[in-house]
Amino acid sequence: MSARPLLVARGLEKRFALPRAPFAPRRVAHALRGVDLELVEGECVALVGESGSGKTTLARTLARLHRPEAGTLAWSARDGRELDLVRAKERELAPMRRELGVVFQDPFASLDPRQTVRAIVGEALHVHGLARGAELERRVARMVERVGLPHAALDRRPHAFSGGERQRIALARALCTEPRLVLLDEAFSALDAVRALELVQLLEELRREQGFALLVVVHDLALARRLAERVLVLYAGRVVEEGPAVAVLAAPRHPYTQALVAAATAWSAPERERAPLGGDPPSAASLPAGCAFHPRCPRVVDSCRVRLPALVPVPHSDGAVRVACPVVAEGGRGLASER
Amino acid sequence: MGAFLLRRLLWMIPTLVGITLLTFLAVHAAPGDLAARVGDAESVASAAGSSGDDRELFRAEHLLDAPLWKQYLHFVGPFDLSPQGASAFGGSGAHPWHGVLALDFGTEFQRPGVPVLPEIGARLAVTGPLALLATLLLFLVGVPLGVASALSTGGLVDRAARGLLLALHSVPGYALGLALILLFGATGWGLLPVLGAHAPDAEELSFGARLLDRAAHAVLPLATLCLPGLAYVARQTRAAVLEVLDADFVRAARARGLAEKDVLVRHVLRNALLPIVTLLASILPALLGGSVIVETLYGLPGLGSYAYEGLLARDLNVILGVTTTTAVATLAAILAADVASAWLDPRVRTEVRGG
Ligand SMILES: Nc1ncnc2c1ncn2[C@@H]1O[C@H](COP(=O)(O)OP(=O)(O)O)[C@@H](O)[C@H]1O
Ligand SMILES: [Mg+2]
Repeated sequence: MSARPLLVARGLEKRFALPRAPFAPRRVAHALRGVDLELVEGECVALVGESGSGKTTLARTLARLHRPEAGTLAWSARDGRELDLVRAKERELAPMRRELGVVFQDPFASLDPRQTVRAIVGEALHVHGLARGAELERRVARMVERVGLPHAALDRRPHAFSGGERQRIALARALCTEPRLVLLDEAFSALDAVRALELVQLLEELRREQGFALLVVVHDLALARRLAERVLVLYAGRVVEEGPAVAVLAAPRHPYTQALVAAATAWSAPERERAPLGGDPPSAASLPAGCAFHPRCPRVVDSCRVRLPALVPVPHSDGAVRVACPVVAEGGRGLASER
Repeated sequence: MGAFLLRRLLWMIPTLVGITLLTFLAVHAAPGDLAARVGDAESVASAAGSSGDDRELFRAEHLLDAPLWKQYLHFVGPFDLSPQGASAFGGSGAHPWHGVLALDFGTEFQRPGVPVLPEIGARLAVTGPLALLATLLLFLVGVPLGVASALSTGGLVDRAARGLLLALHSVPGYALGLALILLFGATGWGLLPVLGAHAPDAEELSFGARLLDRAAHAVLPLATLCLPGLAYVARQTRAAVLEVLDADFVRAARARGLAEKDVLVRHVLRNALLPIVTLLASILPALLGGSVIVETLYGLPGLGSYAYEGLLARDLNVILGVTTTTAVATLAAILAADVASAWLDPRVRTEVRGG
């Protein structure tokens, strides 16, 4: 595969000023703390992690809905030119905007109630001058039919549709411009299992047809494994483990990933193997020093409380896995040197 | 839409009955004789004895000795239940129709023989334009302020606007009116007239000068009427815009590369419009209430000052007439706001237009 990076992020930082009472000290939520990510043309990457770990913030920052405070974000346009997304003015982002589709979680909030499906799906084509008149009409109609909605849907407004149908409309809106990258932020979470499966199958078909790269934020690890080639595990705004989906989800190395995977399979595991992860994820406004996971970590050692671990490669039979945990990394190296 | 309108119109009937009944009972419950002041004016000149006869006549004419239910029915109409009233109810038949249903609020207590309804019409000619202009101003100034405030949340514009509006909001209307009179009237900079709807010699002015004179007389009343409500409109607008700004469909529009101006006009403002339009329903009643203070302060012969005069004189017919008129206007405003928001609501719209 001629793997050309489509989007490269290095050291992304995102902070939010939190509302405060008058004269109270300034408070900041540190949502992303130095995230690296590389998305290759056509691949699918899943972001997993508990609520509040920064998945949405990362997806929105990649879509440049947030401007990161630090780090770099580079988009390689179709003509091969690099676009510096951090510095670029909104107007200069058009080459990226045109090739980016987004689908959000809440199907009831993500469609403008006042627009018809025709306007919703066709807006991006119109804005970027990709089609007009009869051509635009034809492309919109084809896209709406492609996601499994009747032709009559074109003139209706969002309130006439169920949650599953709305997500299809949102998908049609995202894909109408034939984007090179699609971001899905928990696009399946609000749907029942049957609707979610239908949407996943539709997404897979469309991906085979159009070949876009995909970044999905998912809660369901089984879904991550089915959809994604690569997985990034986020905790408190940092990537704690990343690698091929088969490797990371089948044989997780980081204690946090292990806990996540254990929790996901807890219902079917024998009683004695159920080890729920105690405690809550830390607030982004007051993160513990050192490794943010250390208060909950079963393998914590003294250095974890002071040193922020870097993401380092660890040996794994299923591919290149990187883990941000010195205990795991050194354990692995120890094992390797013993052999 | 027809059924919807009809249902809303029918609902107005019990509401109106409730409002007028309450007013009616409140006036009667207050201690003292409603006819006590009759003949006061004449009694200075004429003998004391004849004023007692006047009072008896007056009581009979206005049914003041009849049971309350009969008085209320007399007020509602359409039949006149007084001695001069409909013959079917034992009257002389000279004046068969009376009451709200016959569009007759009777005559004033304070100025015998002056019918209330035409007077209300004349007063409305002052208050109506004032209230409409005030509504227009509130929206033309308050909505842009609210939008600007929302777009710069936490920024300088937002904080300045909110601070100023909060200050205005916390000043009572009459205090604001007095302050404006002191500042702009003859006692202060002498910039604007502070009394009446027009200059005493307005009749002799040319058309242009008369218009200018009217406008000058309207500035301070309008300001007093509008400024406290401005904060309300701006704050509600700000909240409505902020809510839409945070919706995922706005985020999606931005992600698709819509220019910020188009995001605002096509998606944010269009969706924020609905809650703003419904504000209309609460603004008109507030303005009518405010007009009592404003018209009294600035000596304007409007509905508000009429209500005030009526209350001071315990003029039952004036009080009931003004209350009914105000209630109808308020209900009409609520209905208009409801119809407008039903029209703007895409869910209702599909049913109505079948598209
Ligand atoms: N607009 C915002 N203002 C303040 N804090 C925010 C904002 N967006 C996200 N955060 C904070 O950043 C952290 C990460 O949030 P998010 O990216 O939504 O996590 P996830 O999608 O993984 O649940 C959370 O602590 C959240 O409270
Ligand atoms: Mg999220």
